[in-house]
Amino acid sequence: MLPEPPLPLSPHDVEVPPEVSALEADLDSTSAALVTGGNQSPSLEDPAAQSAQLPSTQHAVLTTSKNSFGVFRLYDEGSIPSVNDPKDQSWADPLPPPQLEECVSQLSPSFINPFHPYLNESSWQIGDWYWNQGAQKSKQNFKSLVEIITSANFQPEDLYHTKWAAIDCQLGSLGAVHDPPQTTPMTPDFEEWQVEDGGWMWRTMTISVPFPQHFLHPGPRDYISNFYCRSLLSIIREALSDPTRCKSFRFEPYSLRWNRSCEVDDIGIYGELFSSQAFIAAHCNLQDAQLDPTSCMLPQRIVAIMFWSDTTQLTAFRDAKLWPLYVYFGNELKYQHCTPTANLCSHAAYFQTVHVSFFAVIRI
Amino acid sequence: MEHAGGDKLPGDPLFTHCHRELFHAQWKDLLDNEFIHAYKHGMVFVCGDNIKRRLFPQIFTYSADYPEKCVHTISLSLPTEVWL
Repeated sequence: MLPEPPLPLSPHDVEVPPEVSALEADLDSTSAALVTGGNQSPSLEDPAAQSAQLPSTQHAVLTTSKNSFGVFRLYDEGSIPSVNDPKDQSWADPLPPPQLEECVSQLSPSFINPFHPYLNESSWQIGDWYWNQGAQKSKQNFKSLVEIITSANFQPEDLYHTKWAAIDCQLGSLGAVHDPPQTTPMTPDFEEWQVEDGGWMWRTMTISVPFPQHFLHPGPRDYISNFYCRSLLSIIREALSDPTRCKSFRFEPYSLRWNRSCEVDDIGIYGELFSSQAFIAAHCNLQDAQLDPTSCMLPQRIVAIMFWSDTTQLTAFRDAKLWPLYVYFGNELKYQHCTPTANLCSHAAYFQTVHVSFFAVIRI
Repeated sequence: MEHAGGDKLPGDPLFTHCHRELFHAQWKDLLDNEFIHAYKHGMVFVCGDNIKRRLFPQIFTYSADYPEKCVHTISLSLPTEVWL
C-alpha cells in the first residue's frame, strides 16, 4: 500500500502556495524578513539553536512569512529558487496534477467524445467489462454483463461498426505515452530491453578465488561474471535533461519550521530529503567552497542520490531471481517517488552473485 | 565443500570471501573514475530549464532489507570520502 500524502492545508493554500507567493512578494517589496547570518549563527553547544537555522554562519537567511498553520521556510539567501521555479506545492498538495487529460488531448486534438477511443457508451461498456473486470470471468462478471446489455441505455446497433482490434491497439499506445522508454529504461518489453543505446553496459567482472590446499586444484583461480549496469552520471543527465522533471527538481534546500505563536520557539518539521539537515549542510559546504574567487562561478548544486536494492524472486516455482539496484533522487518529492506513473525510479544495475556451481565442479 | 549442492553456503569463509569480492568489484565498477571526478569536482550540465549548473552527485541513503544490509555493512569498505 502506498503511503498517503497529508491532507492539503486549506483550500486557500492549495490554490496559491503561501510560501512561494509570499516569498516572491517579499523579494519584490521591502517587507522581507531578512535575517543576516551573523547574529543568527547557530551555536554548536545549543542543539535547538543549531536545528533552528541553516547550519552556516556565512549565509544570510531569508525567512518566508508564515502561512495559516504557522509553517514557514528558511532559505539560504545566496541560493533562492529561481523565479521560474515550480509552483512548489511540496506540502500543500504533494501529488502532481494528473496528466491523463493532457496526454489524451495531445493525441486527439479534436477530442470531444468522452468514451474515446470507443465510439459510444455501449461499446465502451462492453470494452470496460472485457478489460477491467478480471481476466477470469465469474458469476459476478456474468451478472454485470447481463446488467449492461439489459440496461435502457444499451444500444446493440452501436456495436455493429466497432473495430475492437483497432481500439485495443489505440489503448495500448495510450499506455506507452504514460510510460515513455526514456524514463523507464528497463521495461518488460523485450525490444526495449535490447536497445543498445539505452546506456546499459555489459561488463565482465573477474575475481580471484584462492582455493585452499585440500581442494583438488588448490591455488588462485579466476571467477568471471557478467555485470549489467548503467553509468550513474548518465542517469543524472537523463533525469535532468527532461524539462518537466527538471522543473520539479529542488536544487535549493530550505529548513521547514513551525511556529504556533510568537511566545514559543519554532520547531523543525521533518519532511523531504532536500529540507533535511544533511542536505542543507552539504549545500552550504558547497556554497562556502564557491566563495573562493578562483572557483567556478556556475551555480553549484547537490544531486542527492538515494540507492535502494532488494533481491527479487522472479518466478513462483523456480529460483530465478534478480538483484536490482534502484536510484531515486532526493531532490524530488517523496510523494512523487511513490507514484509509479511518475517514473522517477531508475534501475542502475543488476548485481550478480557467485554461483555455487563454480565450487561444485572443482570440489574435493 | 559439503554444502556445495545447496543454494547457500552459510558460514563458509571461502564463499563469503567470493561474495564480498564480487560485490566490491561491481560497486567499484559503478563508482567509476568518471563518477568520482564528478563527486569531487562537479559535473557541468545544462539542465532541462536551460540553466547551466555544476552538479555534485552525493549519496545520501542506501535502503536495503536486513539480509542485504548485513552484506553491505560487512563487505562495503569503500573510501570514506565517497560515502557521506
